Amino acid sequence: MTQETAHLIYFGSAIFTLGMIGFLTRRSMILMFLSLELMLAGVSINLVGFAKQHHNYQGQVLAIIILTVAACEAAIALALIVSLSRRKSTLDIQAWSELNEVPMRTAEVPITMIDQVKHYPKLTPAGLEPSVTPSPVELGYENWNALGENSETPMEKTQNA
Amino acid sequence: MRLIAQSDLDKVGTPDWSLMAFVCIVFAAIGYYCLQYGLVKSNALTTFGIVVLVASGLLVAITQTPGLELYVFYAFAGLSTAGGIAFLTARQPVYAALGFATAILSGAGVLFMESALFVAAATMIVYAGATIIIFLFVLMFAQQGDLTTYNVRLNNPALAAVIGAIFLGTIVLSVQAIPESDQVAGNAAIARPLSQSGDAEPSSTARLGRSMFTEYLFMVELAGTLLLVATIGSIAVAQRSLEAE
Amino acid sequence: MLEMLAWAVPVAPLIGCLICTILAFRGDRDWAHWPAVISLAVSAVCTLAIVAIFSDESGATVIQGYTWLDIGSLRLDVSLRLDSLCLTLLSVVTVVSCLVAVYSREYMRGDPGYARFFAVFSGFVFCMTMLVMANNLLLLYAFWEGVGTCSYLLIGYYYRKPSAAKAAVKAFLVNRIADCGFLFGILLLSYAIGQTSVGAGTSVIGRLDFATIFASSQELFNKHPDLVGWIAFLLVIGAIGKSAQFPLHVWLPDAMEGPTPVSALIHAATMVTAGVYLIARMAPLMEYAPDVLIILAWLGAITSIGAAVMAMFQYDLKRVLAYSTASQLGYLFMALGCVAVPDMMTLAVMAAMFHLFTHAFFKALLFLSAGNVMHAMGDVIDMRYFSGLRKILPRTNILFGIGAAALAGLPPLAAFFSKDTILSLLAEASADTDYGGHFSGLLVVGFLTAFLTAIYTSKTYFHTFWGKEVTPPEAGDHPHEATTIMLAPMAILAVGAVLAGLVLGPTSSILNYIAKTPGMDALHGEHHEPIWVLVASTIVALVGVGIGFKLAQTSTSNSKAISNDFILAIAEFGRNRLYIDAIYQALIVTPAEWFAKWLGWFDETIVDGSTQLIGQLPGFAGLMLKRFQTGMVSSYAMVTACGIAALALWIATQ
Repeated sequence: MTQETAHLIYFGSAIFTLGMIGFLTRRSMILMFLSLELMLAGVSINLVGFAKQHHNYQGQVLAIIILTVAACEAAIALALIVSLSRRKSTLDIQAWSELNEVPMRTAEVPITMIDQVKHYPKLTPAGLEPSVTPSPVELGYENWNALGENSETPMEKTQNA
Repeated sequence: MRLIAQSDLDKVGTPDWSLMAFVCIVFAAIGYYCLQYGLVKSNALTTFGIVVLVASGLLVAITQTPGLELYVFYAFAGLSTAGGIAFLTARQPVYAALGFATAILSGAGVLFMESALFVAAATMIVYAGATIIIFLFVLMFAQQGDLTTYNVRLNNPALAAVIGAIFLGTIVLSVQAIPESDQVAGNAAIARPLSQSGDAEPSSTARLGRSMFTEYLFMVELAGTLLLVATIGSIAVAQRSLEAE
Repeated sequence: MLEMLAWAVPVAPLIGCLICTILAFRGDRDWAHWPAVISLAVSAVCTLAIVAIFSDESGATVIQGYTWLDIGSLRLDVSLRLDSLCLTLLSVVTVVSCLVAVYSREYMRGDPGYARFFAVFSGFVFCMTMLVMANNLLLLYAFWEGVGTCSYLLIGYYYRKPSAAKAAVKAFLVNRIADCGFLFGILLLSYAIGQTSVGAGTSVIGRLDFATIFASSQELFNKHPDLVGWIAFLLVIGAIGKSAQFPLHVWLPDAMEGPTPVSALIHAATMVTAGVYLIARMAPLMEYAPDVLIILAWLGAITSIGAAVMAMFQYDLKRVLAYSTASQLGYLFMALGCVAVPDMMTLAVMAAMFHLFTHAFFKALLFLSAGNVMHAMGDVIDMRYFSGLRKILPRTNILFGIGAAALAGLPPLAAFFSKDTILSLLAEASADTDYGGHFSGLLVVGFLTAFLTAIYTSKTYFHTFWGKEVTPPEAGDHPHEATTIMLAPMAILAVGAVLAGLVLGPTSSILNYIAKTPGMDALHGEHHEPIWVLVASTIVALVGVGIGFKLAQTSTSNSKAISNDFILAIAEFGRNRLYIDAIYQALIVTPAEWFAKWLGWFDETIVDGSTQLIGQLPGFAGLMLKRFQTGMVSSYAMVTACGIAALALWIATQ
């Protein structure tokens, strides 16, 4: 392990760690995905470092493959993000917490950025959940059944109306 | 119960610990937390966080032996890390994307230094190019406004900082436990110092290509199949279904 | 022939019991008495037939039955043993029970539990006859328990009445205490016989056959005299519980909560005599434990005099009779105490059985008459509310008079002879060198008891039937005499009460009869009773009757006549049963109830609670682990990252 390789490993791990922290802290789905990409980049840096140390191309080849996989993943992940956000009209990942045992806190403590308020008059009202369809917990489970008596798909609603 | 037998460890030699790395990591964690908190609360805290981060970086730099290569490396690495920190703490998604791009590009710079020319170029093209563009497009579609709650509030940053610090610290520890040596492993025919090329292929890219298409052909083919599948898949997923209108 | 007759005696009541049980479930009440009466009549006839034809040189016939238990070294054969002792008691039991069954057909008519009554009644007779005829001590114990159970069922016949239920439980529990001692005695005896040469090869239960017991008792005494003493003591505990002697007499007065025929049969004639029968049966063994026999005799004496005192001051007619039963049983045990004197064993046993025989007759007669009175007075039996019933119940008057006279000991009625036999026996025993002093004291107690018995008996009789006519309002307008069905058995009993003593006593027929029992010593020539005892007891009885008459007169004329504080205090003492019940309640019953309550609390709260706690632990664990299931991807990722960090830390330490 030369000094150079050690440095490279540190650097690659640092990028990976940053990506990990980003994944853990971010709430927007797109930014979470970008953190994933950052993690992959860190890994490929590590691999190239090892390739340099061992004087062969194993690491670089793997880095290229990782790149390929990252590209594929980007495509599909963003397609999924688009569909998900279309469902709930938000990019917040915490909106998708229906498989829970503990009910989500619905009232969030509002937070305002410094001197940003005046520029955006149309904030989401403070203290409220972003507008999402009510989760089954709030509705009461008896109303939650796509095949139940009380719910109609929008198509049926228009047909029956 | 130890993973590595003590006898094996003794064979390798005594490690060379450096406490400064851990201090630097701790500083970095504190700096990150203060920075991200300060961005929403007070400017003073922001400044303090930035100062701490810079200090940690300098701490690392100071303890190393000087050399031009090292300086260039530190420039790129520092810029990349700064971009990463910016990506972590930016409240507006576009700024975060910019930080991401900076990190990738600087990382590509480091890769250039390691004679991984093709990988560096591919990284720049794919990450900083394609991914950022897709990201920006999706942001246009799906973003409600710039300053939504979920962009401003971070999910438990303290705990995340601690976890990151522990993780990075462990890696640093593990690497430091391996003493320095100049031994080189690998295939003698291909394993040649890249700076000492002296044969027919003019560049490392050509050699990389030869290695890829002879030794690792299967992987390349697999990657191609994966790309095809991903294309089809993304079209299928992104298609709007008729009822969901 | 003999075998068939012998088995018919217990099996007939058993069949009657089963039929009546079926009828009780089906609800056919009206003819439920037929199976019981017929089976008991069959049993009685068979018994008398056996008595007539039984003649065996060896004195005892063992009739094999079947093997009930055969496991390894445990082997219990159900077999019957016929000898004179057994037949004496058996004839009493079967005849009296048949007569009481006929009586109760009329007495219990219309009661909702009619069939149940007869079922348990027949079951009781089955158990009693098997008890008497059992060949094995353990078999006797089994039917001892059976008799106790039937007694519990019959005392608690009116189970909806709380006092009746409590009385039944009390009887059962006190009997249980005695049975405990009895069982220990049996086990100890079995062990002891196994040590002797006679019983060395026999099975553990089989060696409790009476033949084996009698054969090994001499050797047992030679080897382990202390052991014999302990065995005898434990058996005595069993006897005094069943026969209601001090200190286990407390259940007998409360047992009067049961219907009157039950009191007549069980608590006068048959069940309470089981204890006496046990001691008489085990006499060949008991004669080697004279100290225990003296203790037994003194317990009997204490019971006699104490019960007599208590009987003087009771209001309830049936309770007076109950206490007099306990008192007379004390006489029996005093007589059995004379077994301690060498060469007097046969005489003692004979005296006890003689008095038992006559007592059964006149006590049953008295109880049935009390039943008549109760019927006429509308179920009121408190003597303060009625008197002077001779015009209303003329025949009952005569019958009760005969019974009362017999109880008091007036010649030439039955109890005169039998009581005399006991008293003269005690007098003879006073001459004994070792325990003469004891027997003198017992003789004095016997005379005193006879005196008191005469007093309270005549007081009761004269108060109830003579004097001013007073009837309680529950009696209605025309209280009537009992029907013939009820009077006929009583008449037969009266005949027995009058003649039995004359027939059996002076002619020494019962003496010779019982002397034929194996295990009893042979008689030495003729036996004459001292005359002075006869004369003294007659005088005592007459004086007692006179005093009783006077007391009855004064109590009916003015109830506040007695102003002497001392007598009033004794009266209060006696009315409250000498506070023995209260002492037991405070010392034993209340702590037991506290303990039971605490144990119940412990079981519910701690034992059940800890089990439930263990059952709730998964729930708690689930509640705590549920917090991780937030459904939010970020928290899942955070938890994963924490895991990775922990793993990294662990790796770093390696």
